[in-house]
Amino acid sequence: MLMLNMKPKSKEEISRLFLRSYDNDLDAAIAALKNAAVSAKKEKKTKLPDTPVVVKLENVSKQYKLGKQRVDALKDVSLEVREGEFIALTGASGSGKSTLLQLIGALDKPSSGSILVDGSNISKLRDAKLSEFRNKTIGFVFQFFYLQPFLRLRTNIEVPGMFARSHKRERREQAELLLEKVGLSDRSRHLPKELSGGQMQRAAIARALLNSPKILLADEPTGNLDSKNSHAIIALFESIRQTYGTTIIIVTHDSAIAAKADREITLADGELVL
Amino acid sequence: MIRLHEASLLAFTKLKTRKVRLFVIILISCLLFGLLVALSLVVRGGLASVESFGDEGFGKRYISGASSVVTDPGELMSNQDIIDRSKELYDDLVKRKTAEAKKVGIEYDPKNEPLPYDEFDNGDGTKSKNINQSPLALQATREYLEENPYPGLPELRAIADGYDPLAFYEMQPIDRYSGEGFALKVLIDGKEEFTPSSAMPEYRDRGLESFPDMWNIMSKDLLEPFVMEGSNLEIGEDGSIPVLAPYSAAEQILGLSPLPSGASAEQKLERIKKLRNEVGDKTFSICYRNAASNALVDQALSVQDEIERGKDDENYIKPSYITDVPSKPCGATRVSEDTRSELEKTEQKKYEDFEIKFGAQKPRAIRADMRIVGVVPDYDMNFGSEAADILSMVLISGIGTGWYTPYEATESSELVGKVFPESSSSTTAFESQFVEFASAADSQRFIEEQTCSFDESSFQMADDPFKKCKEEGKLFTVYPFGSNSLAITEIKNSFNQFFQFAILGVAGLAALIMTAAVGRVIADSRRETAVFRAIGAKRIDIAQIYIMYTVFVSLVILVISALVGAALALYIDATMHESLSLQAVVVFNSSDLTREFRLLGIELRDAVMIAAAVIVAGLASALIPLLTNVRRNPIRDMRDDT
Repeated sequence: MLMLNMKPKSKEEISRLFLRSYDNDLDAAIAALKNAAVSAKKEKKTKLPDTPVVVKLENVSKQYKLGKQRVDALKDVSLEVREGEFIALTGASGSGKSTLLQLIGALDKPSSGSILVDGSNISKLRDAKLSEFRNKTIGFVFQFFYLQPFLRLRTNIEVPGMFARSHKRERREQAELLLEKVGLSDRSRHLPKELSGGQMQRAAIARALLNSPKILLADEPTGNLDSKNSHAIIALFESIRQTYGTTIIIVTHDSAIAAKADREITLADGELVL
Repeated sequence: MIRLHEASLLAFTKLKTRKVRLFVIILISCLLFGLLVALSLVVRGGLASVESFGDEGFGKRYISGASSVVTDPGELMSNQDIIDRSKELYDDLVKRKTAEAKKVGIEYDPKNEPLPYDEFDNGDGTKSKNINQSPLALQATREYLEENPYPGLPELRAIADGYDPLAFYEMQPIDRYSGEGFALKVLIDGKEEFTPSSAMPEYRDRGLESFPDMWNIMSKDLLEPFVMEGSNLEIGEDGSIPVLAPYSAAEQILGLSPLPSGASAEQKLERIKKLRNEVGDKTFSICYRNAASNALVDQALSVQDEIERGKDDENYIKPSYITDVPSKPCGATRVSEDTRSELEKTEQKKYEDFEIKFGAQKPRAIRADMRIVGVVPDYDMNFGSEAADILSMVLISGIGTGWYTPYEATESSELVGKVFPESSSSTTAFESQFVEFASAADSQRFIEEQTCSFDESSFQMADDPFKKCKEEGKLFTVYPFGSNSLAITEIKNSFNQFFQFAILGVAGLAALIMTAAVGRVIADSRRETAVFRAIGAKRIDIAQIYIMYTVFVSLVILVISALVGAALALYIDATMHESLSLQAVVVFNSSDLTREFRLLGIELRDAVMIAAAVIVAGLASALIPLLTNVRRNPIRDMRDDT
């Protein structure tokens, strides 16, 4: 590996030196190259950026009651997410990934453990404060978009601003900006039913971003889209992260999408799989 | 909480869901509340019209009538004290007549002296006595009533003193059957019709012929409001006696045929206009004959009849003294043949002087002209629709049906001065007194506290139904008289009470019905609520949205209900106002015949109550679904989706 750190003079010279280090055994050299690539990838994926921790879960467990039975949705999960990270939560159905997303999004409270999001211990916040927290810190994107069918696109995007009691003019400007960002400026006066699935999801992303949240949580955002639209949505997430520095956590079954994330966190039976 | 207009914007989207269900619910609710709106408009309009018409007549006056309960003419007839006194008077008369007859040398048989009472068999071997209408019986009755007067004006004044009375009035009806045997006739076409006094005349309640049965004297102040313009209640310079007459009599005087029963409202109104315009100060003649004059007419009729029957009998011998009915209306009987000897004439004269000395009346006939100064509705005026008839019964403002002459005429008119005192010996029982108050409250309180309530249980047991009242010192049956003021006040109070219950009932029903729609919309919106919660809505924001939604629904119901109610009220008004206007003109004796009775009136209180009821019903319908909805965990509703 030290060889890689030497300053080569040309591609031919590098090849010669490389092969010489493996006693000119081409197969051994190729095998070594493959291993090095896997290691580099692993190193890249596990290495956390040097930004503050924005989400911190410590020994979080969540149980549900299903009839008379208790179901352990999450078991003793500890996790840190840093600002600007793009995290993919993967796992089989029922593995607990959506539960984890909802706990991070303050839609639910853990049965035990603590969750710190942007410095707030959300497991201790009361309902009204939780709503305020969700409104300002979290942006949600859902698989089925959930746009209000009788409101025009721009108004749909403004809804979180209404709950935040933001000024109408500022809110409108922000909505226009986001519509432009998601490429729907020309559709601002349309109703959701006049849009394609991909457009609706882009609008939903714009709505999630209206109050400039630090964290964007997306629960299978491409689950209802074709491959082309799915890639466009992921590209949009990437662009949002680049533009706003937003931390993005998505739940997905799509390994190709997971591969594009900074980190893939896999859950199985409510536990993190390393 | 989110801003009101933003909550409204989000709530407005809810109106676009479940449209069919919402339409049905709104329709049913609108019909319910529309009925309330119509009810309010019609009743308030009707009451306002009544009050407007009430500016005339007794409409704004609070008068209570009072009839004595300690009055029983039947009891007087069998009163042992009166019978004993009449027997005493009878015995004294016989004694004095016997002595006088001896003195003046005429024959007098006490057996021919009529007894002051009649005896009859009870059917169980016992006999009872009832006084009759002989002068001695009437004298005994009067003496008794002087000692034991019926409760009258003085007693009424005493009990009304605590209620701030404004004035007192009196009324006395005529009673030509139980008085001193006088006769009163209307001279139809100026002619007097002669019939034996034993033939009981038919009772009439319409037309000129009703006069002898339905004539009353009443305090002038009570008659004033009904006097036509240009007329007055004074005895005329020609001696004519003022009288308020029924419409049917006025028609007869003007030579108008009665309207057919199916006459239109316009025809009826035109008829009233004509009567009002033309009958003022028209006169008709009446004739009063006292019992003695009546007896002479009877005698003349009897002799004429006898001669007629004996004209074909060869053995028939005509009486030596023959009289005939008067040749002039209300004139004296005339002697058509007198073949008596001088001795017979002297004896007859002696006998007449003898009777006059012992109180026998001199024959007296008085003709007078009655002058119509106002008109009042007939007893059975039929103005068509049932509602109008009911209105007439409930809201009538006037002195009632019949003929009315001022009480004061008993002093200024010889005829009136004879007729009513002569019919008062027994009809005192039927006299009424009236007391006027300044307010409905005083009048109502007086009636409630002082009236004697009829004791039905006692009545059924054939006891004195007023025994309890007499023991409690409640001497009168007191009732609202002439004016609809108390009735209107009572109706208003009752309506207000009824309306409150109706509103509560309708609001409750509407709330139940609306719950079906609002509850469904809220339930349907659980996922949207969960999404709103996820993007930052507080529970109160969600509640605000649905409250706004129910307010919208309520406002829609309110507006449509108002339109439905107004349309219904307009229809009712358009259908009925014509006949009601006519009826009102009649019952209120309105001088302005063009005045209209409308069934459209807005009462702010009702409007506010209905509006509040609609809004409250809407909010109530949302309460339970909303409480359930906002307390749900948004995760659960989102999870339901996947």
